[in-house]
This record gives sequence, structure tokens and C-alpha cells, in this order.
Amino acid sequence: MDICCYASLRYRTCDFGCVDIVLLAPQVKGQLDDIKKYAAEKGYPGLPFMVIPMREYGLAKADAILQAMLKLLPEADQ
Amino acid sequence: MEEKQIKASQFEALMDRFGAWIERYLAPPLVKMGNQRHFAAIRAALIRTIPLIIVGSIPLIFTNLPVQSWADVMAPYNEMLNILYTMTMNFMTLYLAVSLGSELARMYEEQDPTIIAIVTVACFIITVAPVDLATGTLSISGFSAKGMFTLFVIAIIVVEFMHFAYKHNVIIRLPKVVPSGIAQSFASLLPMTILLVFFWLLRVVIGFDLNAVLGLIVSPLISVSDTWYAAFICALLLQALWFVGIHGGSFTVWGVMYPFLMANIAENAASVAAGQPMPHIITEPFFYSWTMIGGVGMTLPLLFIWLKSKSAHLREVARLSIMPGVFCVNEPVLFGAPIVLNPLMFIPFIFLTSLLGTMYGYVLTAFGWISPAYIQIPWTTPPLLQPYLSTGGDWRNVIAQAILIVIMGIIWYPFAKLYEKRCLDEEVANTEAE
Repeated sequence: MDICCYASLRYRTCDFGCVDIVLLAPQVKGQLDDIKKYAAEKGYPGLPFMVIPMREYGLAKADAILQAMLKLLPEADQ
Repeated sequence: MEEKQIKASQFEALMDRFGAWIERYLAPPLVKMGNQRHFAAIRAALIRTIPLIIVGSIPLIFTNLPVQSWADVMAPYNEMLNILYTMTMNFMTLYLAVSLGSELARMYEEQDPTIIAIVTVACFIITVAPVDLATGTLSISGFSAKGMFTLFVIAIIVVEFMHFAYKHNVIIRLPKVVPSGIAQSFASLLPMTILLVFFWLLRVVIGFDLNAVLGLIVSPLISVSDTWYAAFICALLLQALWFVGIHGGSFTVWGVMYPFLMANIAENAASVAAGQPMPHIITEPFFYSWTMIGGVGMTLPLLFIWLKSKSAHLREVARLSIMPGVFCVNEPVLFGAPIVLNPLMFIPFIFLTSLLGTMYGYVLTAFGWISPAYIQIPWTTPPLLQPYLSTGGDWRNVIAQAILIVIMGIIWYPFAKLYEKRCLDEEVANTEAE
């Protein structure tokens, strides 16, 4: 699994074509709609997005975040 | 006991409603404003120049050492050090022009960030520092923080006009076989010419000094930004937004206030370099030293209380959060405990910690008992080191911060214990259920 990290303000520099899912830190969840809209404009309307659950983010529970992520991915991509 | 429990749950329900109110009415307009593309680009561009400003502040430490014998050793080198300071801090807006031009360009896909940066710099220099051909010199005063707001106006005009030109074909289009770098350069030729001629006409031919006019408009705002109520409102909004889990700093300290904070610290630094009293209290390091010790809400003392907690959950939170907390990153405790949307933490987090700390720092500085900051430091600088470095070595600031940390520990203690009891009860109930 490859993970790319970007500052949320720089979402316009992201290449959405090479990601399967986009995770957003909970403190920048206010940008979710803008980023989704931008990804749709770039031709990726069905790209799954997830705001990382707050507690799991704070306690760095990678397993729980991964499980939540996998539920959003289409079966073929899992 | 039952009456106490009823009152406690009524209190929590009330705090819940406050939190919901913040999330529903206060946060959305601030988030919308913060996400506005020009605003976001300005913020990103300012943040990119921080390393340069930090480096530019370092010579001031050496030219203003607190110990006389050290100051005497450095005295022969003061002029050379002041050149380094001048070429960085006093040119900050010129460097910001490069950063801002390229950030704004990224808003529009067709724009080449380098070309927009070049045009922005050129238009900015023509506006604030047209060359005196007789002497072959130009004034550099506009390159300092004094020119910042002028740069914002110019950079936005540049990028929006370039976008308009591309959209309405006011460009030279070369055939597709031409390499894209050359095609981009030629495409921007016409709108670039129009922009440069426009700013040249405005400043040189008509003689309209945009920088002076904006200075008059912005000056009262800079004065307001340096008041206790501006700091109070900023800290209150910061805490309120973080309480609902939104990055409050993006819209307050590093948002609306940021250009003013940069201007204030630049003026403080210039005053110190000139051997004069510092005019401003509210700067970015002010917030690190008095509002965000260990992170928003001053959670560092809370972590020390929970390190030995009887609750396994809170011990884990404290263990994970203490090292980041020393470097003022406290998302682990904010989201892990959680403090965010936790009605028991509403009152201390919003009203009793950062707000009190802000007023404490302001009052002490206003009375002259501690120094204002004039050296830009990284926001992750640990407590006690922060106030020392940002004030060029004033030990009084260190003592004042240490006292504040103890006060915050006392304030947090009852709430920490209350929440610990809640967590313990849940852990016991879960164990029994299993």
C-alpha cells in the first residue's frame, strides 16, 4: 500500500488519477466538499473519500482506520 | 447522589448544545471564508516564507545578546549581521511576491506558476519601488512588511487578469507542435504586457502611489490587530473552532490575523535594530507563548496529570501525546481523549485556558513586565524555549510562562479528574460486560 500525504490547502496539486481512496484529517473536514468537487471536475466523480474517525486519528489506530477504509473500497480494489 | 447525577447530565447536555451551536452557526462561515481560494493561497504563500523570516531573525539574536560581555564580542560584526537581517526580513514582501504569484497560479490549471510569479514580482516592483534613473537606485521600504497588503492586491489582479486573458483568448496561441514551455511564454506575452503597462501608467505616469493609499487604509486595521480585544476574539474563535474539531488556527492566527502578525513582528524587529522601543504586542510568537503552550487549549499540563491516571485509556492518550505536545502538536490528545466535542472539557478548553493565557501575556507585556517578541521562531519550538528565543533572551518571559503553565495545571486538574472518573466508570462497565 502506497500512501501520499499532501497539505489539504494544496489539493489542487494532487494527481487524483493515481489514488484509490482519499483520506482527510478530521480537523480539515470542512474542505471535504471542495476537494470532492475538484476531483469530480478532474474526471474522478466516484473516487471514495473518508474523513478519518476522530479517536482513531488521535490515538494513531492504523488498523481501525484501515478497516474503515477497506469498507469504502470496491471489492475488486480490496 | 441521584440529584448530583441529574445535574451533571443536565450540565453536559447544555455544553453539548453549545458545541452543536458552534458547529452549526459559527464554524461554517469561518470555514467558507478560510477555504476561499485567494485567502487560502495567501495563507499558503505566507507559510512558505516562514523559514526565510526565521533565518532573517537570527542575526537579531546576535546583535542584541542579553549578556554585555557577549554583546561586546559581537559588536564588530553587528553591521554585517544587520545586512543579513535587512536582506531577509526587510525584503520579505519581495520574496512573498514569488511565493504568492505561484500559489495563486495553482488556482487555475492553465497558469504557469513561474510565469505568474515573475509577472507578480515585476508589477510589484514597478508599483512600490520604481527606479530613480538619475541615481540608479530604488527605494526598498516597500519590500518590507509595509508593502504586504499592496502585494496582495497586485497579485490577485495579476492572476485574475491572466486567467481572464486565457479564458477569452487574449493571448498568442502557437501551434501544438511548439514545445509547451515556449508556447506558455508566448501565450502570456500579451496579458503580461497589458499588466506591466497598466502598473507602469498607474505609478510612473499618473503618479498614483498604491502602496501609500493602502497603507492609510490598512494602518487602522494594524492598530486594531494589536489590541487586547483582537487577541481575545482571535483566541476565542481559535478555541471554539477546535472544540468542534476544526483547525481553528487556519482561520484565525494563520488566517485573517496572519498578515497583521507578520507586519507587527517585522516592525518590532526594525525597532530593535534601530535601538528603539518595540511598538507591537500581538505577534505570532505571542500566540505560541501565551495562547498555545503545548498546543491549543494549553493541554501540556493535562497530559502530565493523565500520565499517572488510573484510566488505561487516558494513560495511553497521555503517553502518545506527550512528545508531540512538547513540540506544540496536540491533535493526539484533542482527538484521542477526546477533548473535541467533549462537554466536560467545554468550559476549561474554551474559556479558562487559552483565553486566560492570552490576557495574562497581554497584560504583562502592556505593563512592561515582560518583553514583546521580535524574533520569528518555528511554532513547534518547545515551551520555555519559545519565550526566551522570541524575545532575544528575556528570562522574565520564561519565568512568566513557567508560572502560567503551573496555573493552567491547577485549572485543568478538576476537569482532568472529572473526566478520568468518567473514563474509569466506562472501563469498569466494559470489563463487567465482558
